[in-house]
Amino acid sequence: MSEKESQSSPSPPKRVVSVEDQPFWDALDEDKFMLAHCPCGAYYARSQACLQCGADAQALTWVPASGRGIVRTFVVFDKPYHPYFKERLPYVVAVVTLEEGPEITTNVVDTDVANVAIGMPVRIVISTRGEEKIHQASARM
Amino acid sequence: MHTYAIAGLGVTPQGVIPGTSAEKLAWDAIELALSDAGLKRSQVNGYIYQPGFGERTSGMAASRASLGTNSTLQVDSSGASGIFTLITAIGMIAAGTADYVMCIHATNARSQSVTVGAGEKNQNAVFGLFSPGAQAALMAQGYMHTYGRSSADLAEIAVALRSNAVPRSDAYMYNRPITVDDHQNSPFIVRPLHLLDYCLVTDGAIAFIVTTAERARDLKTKPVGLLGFGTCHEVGQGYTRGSNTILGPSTLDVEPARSRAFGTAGLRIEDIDVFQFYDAFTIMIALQVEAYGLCAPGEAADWVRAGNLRWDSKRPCNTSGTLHSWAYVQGFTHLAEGIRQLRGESGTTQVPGARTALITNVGITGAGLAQSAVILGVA
Repeated sequence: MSEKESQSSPSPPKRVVSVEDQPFWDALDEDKFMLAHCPCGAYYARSQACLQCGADAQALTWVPASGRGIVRTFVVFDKPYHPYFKERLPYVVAVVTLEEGPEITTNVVDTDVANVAIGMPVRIVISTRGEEKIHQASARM
Repeated sequence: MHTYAIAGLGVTPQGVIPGTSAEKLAWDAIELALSDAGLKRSQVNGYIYQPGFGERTSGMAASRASLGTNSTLQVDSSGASGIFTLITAIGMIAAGTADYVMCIHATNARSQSVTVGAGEKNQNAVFGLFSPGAQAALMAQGYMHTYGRSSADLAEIAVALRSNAVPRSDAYMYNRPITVDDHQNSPFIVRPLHLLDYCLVTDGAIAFIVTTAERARDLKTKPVGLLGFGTCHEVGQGYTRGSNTILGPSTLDVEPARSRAFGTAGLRIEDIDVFQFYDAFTIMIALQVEAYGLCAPGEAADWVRAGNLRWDSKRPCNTSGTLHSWAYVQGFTHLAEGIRQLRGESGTTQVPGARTALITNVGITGAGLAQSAVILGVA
């Protein structure tokens, strides 16, 4: 599920990764979209202590996720706040609720920005942004 | 009954002030506050500042102003900081480390041409999610979806806020009214928010002096009592769902800020004569007037259309035009206007006989949405 994004200068912002979240991004680099899973059943898009049962971070394991979700809310950027995005306007940033429960910030791609709506189904795809892999939500089901 | 009071207020000119550092603006506000209180520099022995956008104010302003500071402290909870500086000042006084505390915010973001939130380093930057405005836009999109509201509904709030500044010669937007069409024709910044859903960015400074109610009685100016505080920080909101985006798309939870502020003051919302709600974005006004119970959830636009929010209405709010139309000194803006109302110094938008004021501050912080509230009363 890798989709190459065209590269041009200036370069995009780098991923900002906390040590505990490294496995999520390492998996993404291997084209896998993972979630942290607690034995109690809860899922997280970031590694942390389980906020439902109180288990600590070591109890959580990274498991492959469905990648299915719906748009909970979104915005459309019309103004560049970073040089990389200047030629990519307008673009969508959304909060997607994943089937497993957690919410995740991402872009919605493969549709015109005017078609994006709260409640629309999306699926996670993995793209290359600059030299790094990121997850995006495709409107193409 | 209150133990602490604001005993001095210093408000510099606001607007576009090129060629003046934030430190100099701070110095000017300090001078005005000292003169208002009738205090000597050496008597002020606590100093708390909120850093701002643009050139950052620092503790150096206290040293340049030759204050007798026993302690100098930075307090930063973004837009919620103004009220947090008062809370911290009370803590210093109660702990016995200071008698008179200067609380200040100064900014020259306008002259520095700061694009707030540009190029910030955070976990969402790789997705192009930048700026507090985008977080507000995420909330606004959810609000509109939940209640079947539109951008034209939020426009009503921008128009009303502007109408409060129009009669105020000290407001940046003095004598410059806007219409719903002006709002709708203003450019999108982060959709669904238009430019006129955003507050101003201006240069200027505001300072307060906090002391005990007992000491305040002996000073030159009419003290304003600090009747009750409440705060609330939705640290868990984003993170519990595994996301680091602020998620309050349709309602705003103002507890325990509301209940603690009113509980300590021993007042009900009906007892409040004037309101100053934090208004970095129009959506924040909608969410707050609903959460504080001035109107039903989803009905803020109808409530404003019916004439409310205006300085001369039954529920006078944001009587200077605040961040949208007066000036951008973050939460200090609302506190200054609340103090002026209770001192009878709000000029053309003075609410006759105002004796109580609710002030709120809201900060979009790295740790979620921070809220702070204070009830002021005529001492």
